[in-house]
Amino acid sequence: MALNEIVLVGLNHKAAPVDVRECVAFPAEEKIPFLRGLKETAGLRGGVLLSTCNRVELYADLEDGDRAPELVDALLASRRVPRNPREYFYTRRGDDLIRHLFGVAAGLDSMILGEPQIFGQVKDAYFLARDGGTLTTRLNLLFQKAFHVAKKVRTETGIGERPVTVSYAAFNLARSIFEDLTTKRILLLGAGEMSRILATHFYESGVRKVTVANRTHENALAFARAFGAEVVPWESFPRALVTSDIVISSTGAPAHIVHRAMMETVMKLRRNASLLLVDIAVPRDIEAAVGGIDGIYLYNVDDLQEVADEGLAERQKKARHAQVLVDGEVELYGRYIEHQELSGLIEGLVTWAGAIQDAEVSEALRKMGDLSPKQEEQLRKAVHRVTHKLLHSPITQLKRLVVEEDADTAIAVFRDLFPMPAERGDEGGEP
Amino acid sequence: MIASGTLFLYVASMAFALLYGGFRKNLLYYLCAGAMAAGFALQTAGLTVRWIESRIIPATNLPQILHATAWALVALYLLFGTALKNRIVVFFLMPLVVLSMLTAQLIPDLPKEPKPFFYTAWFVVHIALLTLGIGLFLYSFLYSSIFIMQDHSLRHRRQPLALGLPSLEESARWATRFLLLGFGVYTAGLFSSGLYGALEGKKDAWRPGMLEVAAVAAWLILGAAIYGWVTAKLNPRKRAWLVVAGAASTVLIILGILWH
Repeated sequence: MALNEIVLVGLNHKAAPVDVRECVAFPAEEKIPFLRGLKETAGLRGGVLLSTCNRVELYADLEDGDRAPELVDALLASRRVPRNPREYFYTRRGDDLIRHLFGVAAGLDSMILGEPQIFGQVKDAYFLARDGGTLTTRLNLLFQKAFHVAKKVRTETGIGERPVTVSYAAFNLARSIFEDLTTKRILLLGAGEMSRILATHFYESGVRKVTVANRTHENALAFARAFGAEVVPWESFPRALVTSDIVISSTGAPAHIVHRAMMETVMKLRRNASLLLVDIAVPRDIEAAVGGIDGIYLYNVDDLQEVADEGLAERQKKARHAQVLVDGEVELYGRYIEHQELSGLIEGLVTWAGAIQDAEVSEALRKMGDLSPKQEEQLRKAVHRVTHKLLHSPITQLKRLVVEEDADTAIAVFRDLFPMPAERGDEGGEP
Repeated sequence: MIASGTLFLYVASMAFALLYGGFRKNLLYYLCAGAMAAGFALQTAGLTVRWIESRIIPATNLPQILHATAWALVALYLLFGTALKNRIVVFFLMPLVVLSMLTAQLIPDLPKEPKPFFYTAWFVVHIALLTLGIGLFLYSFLYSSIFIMQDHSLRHRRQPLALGLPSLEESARWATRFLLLGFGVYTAGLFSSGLYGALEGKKDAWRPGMLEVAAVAAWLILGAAIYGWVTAKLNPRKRAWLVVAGAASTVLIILGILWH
């Protein structure tokens, strides 16, 4: 089958450690030159190269599917890899390849199950290949279908709805409280690593009003530069609580720095407007009793982890449903491709037989000398009927075998029986 | 016949709304909205025919008022549905509409002794404003209930997005809008009958009976909720509970109509 000429070689976070992945990773600007080079060296018709933090995968449309190992050689030769990581590479073909790609695009193969970013990354790789002229018709069809399946999985299973990381859990809680986060102000108490991770998540989602208060003023300034944040002196943070909507606290203070009495005053000054307090410090920065004040929603690191764990359990449940959906789509796609290939094969056979028939009739007419137009016409029709009758049975049997038996074998035998000239190559690829 | 057809369509719409709450498929929402719109068209036709035949706006006894309330709820959704953005509101709205319709079907529709006031335009204005006001209060009630549910989930560290409820801020905003609008419309409705009496010299147009006492009680509770809102003396959760209580007090109006 033509699908056997499409091969995937690659490695991912499940197969290879990070030190291998980082060596094999491709910067965007090197992808297309690399793929173009493979046309010469490995018989590549076209390819899509997906390179993210967690995977490097080459989806290659080859003239000869058996040349897949050469792709790994070429991949390794183009990178500075300190040791031979060949053992980490996997190869996929046929249904396994389709299932893999559909799963990758839907986030089912991601480190964070169901995460949506991978969909955009697969799309980016596809568009890069298309614009670089390395996308063949077959790859185009395959990727278009993968996008369709990924969307279907997201919509029908809702796999990405629940948060699975602490920072995403905090972000989701904020969205449950506030309508438009871009108009809200975040106050960061402490400028540590966890604060940075959470702040990055909010910042990337469009939150621009950020205030930082840190005991070491210099650290606060460095943090502020990264996020365009406003810095307030540590002693003034209670005043900043009045004007903030979300507070992320992660100081290294040995005791509580935010108390119930303080927050009762703050809430009066805020005219009881809702306030989300995220305390990710250990020991905790915020007294637990603060959570009992109306209008305050207090979450500590364990609460957030619990939300994330519940989300992960939910996603795992949904992933099983998603996998069933993907399997169904793989089967449908396989049938569609078989149908496409079968139609092309039959069409090719009829054209090939027609060409032989026309050539032979012309030769016979030339040898037979003068015939009336009517006689010529009758001869042509007779030969056409013979050709048609001879081809009818093999075509019917081929259609039956493809449905009832092994399609690949049936098509291969058919190709051996009727050695037609090679089909026209794919229309994509480098001009 | 028309009432049964309307009820059937509203029940179908409710079924789709409940399924939509569970499965979140767009198709289910469209089916819900389609059945709702069809039910609304049928109900409007039925109410219009009845109005023309009797020459009195069909809202003179409890079953008729309940029908009119269901009509107002659906009309408001068809008007504001797009602006509300969050479609999950149908999950809460349609059971309320069906409850109103079913209760109306169960209570005998006994014709009332027509008073001269029933034939005046004042009565139409009075009924239209009160029905619309109650409809708006019920929306405020729905959004306040959603606020309380969301607040409860957040306080108890449950997954607040499980049902895809609007954010607390959004719920509070819509609850307030409907409350303020409803309060104005409802107040105008209450005063319209008194105004009729004053202008027409009919001193008995506004006699303090059970209905009037109930109507004023609901007005006072909802007024307190607005006061709490404006002065920010109450936190959003308490305000939401007050709106729920105020909207629940519209039940008093229904009882008042029954005993009127």
